[in-house]
Amino acid sequence: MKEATWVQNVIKEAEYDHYMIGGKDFIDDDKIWEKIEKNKSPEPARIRSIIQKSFNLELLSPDETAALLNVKDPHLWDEIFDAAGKIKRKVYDNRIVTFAPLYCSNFCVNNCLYCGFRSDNKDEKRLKLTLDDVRRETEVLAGKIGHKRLIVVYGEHPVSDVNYMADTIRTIYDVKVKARKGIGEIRRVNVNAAPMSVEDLRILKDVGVGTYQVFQETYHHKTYSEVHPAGTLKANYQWRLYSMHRALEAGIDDVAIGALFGLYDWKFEVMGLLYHAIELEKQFGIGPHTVSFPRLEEAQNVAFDTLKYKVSDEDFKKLVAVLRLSIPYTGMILTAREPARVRREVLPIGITQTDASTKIGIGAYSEIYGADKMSEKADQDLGKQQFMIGDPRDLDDVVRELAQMGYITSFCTAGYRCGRTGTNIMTLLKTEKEGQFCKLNAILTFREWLDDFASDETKKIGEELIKKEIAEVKSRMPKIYSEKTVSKLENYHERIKNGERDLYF
Amino acid sequence: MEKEIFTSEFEKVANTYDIKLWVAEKLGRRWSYVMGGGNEKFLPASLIGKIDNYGVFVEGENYNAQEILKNVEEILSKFRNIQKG
Repeated sequence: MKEATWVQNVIKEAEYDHYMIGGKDFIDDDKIWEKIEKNKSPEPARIRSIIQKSFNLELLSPDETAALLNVKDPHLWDEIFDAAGKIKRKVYDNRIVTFAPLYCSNFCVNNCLYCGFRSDNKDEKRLKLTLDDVRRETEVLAGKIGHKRLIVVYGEHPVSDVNYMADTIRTIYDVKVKARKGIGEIRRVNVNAAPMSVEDLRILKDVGVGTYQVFQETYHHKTYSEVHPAGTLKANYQWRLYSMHRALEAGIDDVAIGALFGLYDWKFEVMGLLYHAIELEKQFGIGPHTVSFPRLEEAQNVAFDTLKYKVSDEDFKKLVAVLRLSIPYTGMILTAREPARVRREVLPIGITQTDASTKIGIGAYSEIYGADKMSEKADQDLGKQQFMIGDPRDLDDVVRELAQMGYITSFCTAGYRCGRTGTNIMTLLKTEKEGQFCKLNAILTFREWLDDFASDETKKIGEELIKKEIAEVKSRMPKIYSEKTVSKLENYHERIKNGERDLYF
Repeated sequence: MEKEIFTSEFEKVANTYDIKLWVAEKLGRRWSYVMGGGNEKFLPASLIGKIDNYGVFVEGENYNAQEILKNVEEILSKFRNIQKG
């Protein structure tokens, strides 16, 4: 199909019109600014009571989030950071889930002013992985690095339509690689792709996608129009805004939202994400599975002033903490866009997922790992990737550092393989039960990874961590775990040590 | 709304056997939660059977899978009838 014809058939207005009220979507720009203004000088007592509400794992109201965003006292901010970390542990325990992105194609019909994939960037080398390429990339990711979870990324273009996506996902799931003691395989494929129709989303659902992720980029209507030129698919704000509504209609019940910080005022974007979560809960009873908050990074041939709304490291930390408090149950993703220094500082205030050994060039894993590993930022080729990665460290390095910081890396993918999805997982999250599952599955999947992929140095530290984690599980008996649970955990742990794989709670 | 109505029926069965019980719909490799009940046991979920496109999952021990399946089949049958209107 010709590109122009394909483009004309993508957007189905009837699939979002019915959610709008009086022709308006659920993001009211003026109202957001009013809330931010109205809550300009919050009293410390009010902030502390809002923090308390977050501890009850309730979604905050827009006024409450606006109040948090307006805190000026550094000591009060310290209380917020501290609470954010505690809430994360309350919901998810001390586990951090890791994943890797796999960029499958960079052909794109859009022309977003801030993006290296924009159609006007003629210096970008346009590439699309063949299914053999996808297999080779997955062999590296699953067989050499040891990832169990991917997020696959596609440009919006007829060459990477939903059928191509489905083929690549099937290919990824089929790859099995012999590791030291077990088998390397990808067990959960999440998708970051353009907004799709319900019909296309059903194809994704049928192939077994994990989470479907679409970032609104900016929730501010005017800025959205300015950075997504008219006449392109992405120019349609509402088509994008209601992506998750369509995904949930199609039966994909793990949905992920995000904003690209740096396009507009960061406080406004935090409010936009909160309104998005409120809307999803209202319509479907299911909030976002994860929230992402990437900061705009250097990219090739962009046509956007990246300094105007640049988010400082200090404000970045604040926005992460406010998001954690505002949507206390949600997963929060901090990516390798951020340098190691920032990751170390921000991780303790509410992060649940991060990536490592990250490559975002098309075909970069098999290329780079076939030759020399990329270890320096300067080694990145902006002509083949969307933006610049800030932390190119290997998974082994990241896992070891996390262990030293007291976190256990989890490769768990259990939930969507036994129906802990949708309203089920939302209930578990809001009642602090999901974290108890996380702990058990983190131990088991960490054991697998240590035996199959870890360096000697990481393994040594990891063994100590596993001992500590098992002791913690035992200490929660009988209040949380039964004897049966502990005995099952020990049984599974031993069996994994002896080479069995994919045992989970 | 229909799902909420049947939650109490699942609760009843789950409490009888002291298990957590739920049904999920098979979607490719994914099992998507539909409805269920019972208290969390923190035990591995066992798929005890399939009814059409639904999988019946149980967390617990010392239960009679056949009896549970029979109960779930009855609940699902009522659920389908309500959906048909």
